[in-house]
Amino acid sequence: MRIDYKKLNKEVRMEKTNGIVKFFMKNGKKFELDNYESLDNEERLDLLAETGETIDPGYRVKFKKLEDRKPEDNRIELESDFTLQEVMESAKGIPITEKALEIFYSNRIAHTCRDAQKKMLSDLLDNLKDTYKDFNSLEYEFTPKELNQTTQTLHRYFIAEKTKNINAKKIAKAQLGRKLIGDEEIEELRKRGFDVLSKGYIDCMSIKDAAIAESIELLKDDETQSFGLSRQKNKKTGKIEDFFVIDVQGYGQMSVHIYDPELISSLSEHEYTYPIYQVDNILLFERTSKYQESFYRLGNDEEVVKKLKEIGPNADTHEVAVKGMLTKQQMDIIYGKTNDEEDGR
Amino acid sequence: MNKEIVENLIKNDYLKEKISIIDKLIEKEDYKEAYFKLAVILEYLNIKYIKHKYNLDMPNSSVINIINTYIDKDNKLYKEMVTINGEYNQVDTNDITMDDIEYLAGMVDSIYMYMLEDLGEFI
Repeated sequence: MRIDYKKLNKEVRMEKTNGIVKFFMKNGKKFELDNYESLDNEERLDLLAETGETIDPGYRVKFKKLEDRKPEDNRIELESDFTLQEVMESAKGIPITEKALEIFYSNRIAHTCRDAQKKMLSDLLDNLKDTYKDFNSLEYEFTPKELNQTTQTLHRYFIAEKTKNINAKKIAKAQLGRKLIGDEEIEELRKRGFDVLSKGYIDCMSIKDAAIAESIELLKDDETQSFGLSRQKNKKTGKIEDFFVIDVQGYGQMSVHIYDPELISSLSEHEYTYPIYQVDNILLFERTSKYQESFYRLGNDEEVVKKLKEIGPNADTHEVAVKGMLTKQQMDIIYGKTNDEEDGR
Repeated sequence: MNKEIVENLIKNDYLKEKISIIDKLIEKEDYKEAYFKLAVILEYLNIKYIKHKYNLDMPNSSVINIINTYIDKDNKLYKEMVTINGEYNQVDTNDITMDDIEYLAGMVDSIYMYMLEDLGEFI
């Protein structure tokens, strides 16, 4: 018997998508901002950890995949399996680390909902292809961009329906018609839970942006902490994208996209000018590589700063600085922004 | 832009003028600027409405701050602004389409209509 891997993969991903829908059907209310904000910091982290572990398990594997891209000595080896709950536990009680984790994982959960929506739509389109297989002229292959845009429009339709915004629903319906998505497809997607994922997406994005705003308040007067707005060129599109970055001392760099123009302008005095060393970061964890440890064995911070300054600023030295809990002032010495003598060191 | 989508906004002379600027940007296919101008109109409406209704100034008018202002005061506007926040997070600002503009315009128009029904003209 031959195994049909295509069919098997599809079944596995449908099962995963169904699991995410079921989770949000049961727990979705907890992510509504008014309910979420009634939780204390520890309860928020517990909710995000439980959600992450349920809907997108396998953090250790993903972490390893990212570390494998680095030269062997620079890789962080994890001694044992761990859960996201453990990562969260280690952050509890450190306000800025708690906030960074909240931003990072609410964003990740929102994107998990969005990826599931795309898979759901893609599966539906595949089914349609099977239906029309004898009518070649009716077959149409969506490009990834079209798939993304159609997912966005379906999301608009379902959210407008939930908020009873008749005008917005009408506009989204007309846009879907132009994309050849009709009532039948909409109803099928509703049955599969597309609308539940839309709600999960907007709620988690509002949690992310609320946590960014709170962390700006926490950080704006802290002169020891490096954070702020970083404008990075997307390697694929060549276009500039805005990121909110926090160097979480001892843990690592946390970066997420930021979109609200007002939130961006509130960061005008906090430009992040250090290298982004991990856009694809998978988690924050207080572990170090042999390479990083070799610096900490040098002795005190002053010696580490001196050595890193000699090597020169780059992504690797920045990772060492963040993991080594160096302050913003010490980083500025490494980057030649202030003179160590002037600084009295 | 289809006038039906912004039928309430264009009844106000000040906002009509702003919509005509957006129309010109659309004609020039400067979709990104048109989108951002619509976002500014929405921010302006919220600041004015909050001042009139609650006598609150909004020195920080980020979407999340507006959401937090409505959170225990107006369930409808709270939900609409959570939707807007999701919308800003999902659109590719480097590749804004007419669909993005139309949808945001429709949202702004219906939010303005709700505010008008509640307060009467406040611009």
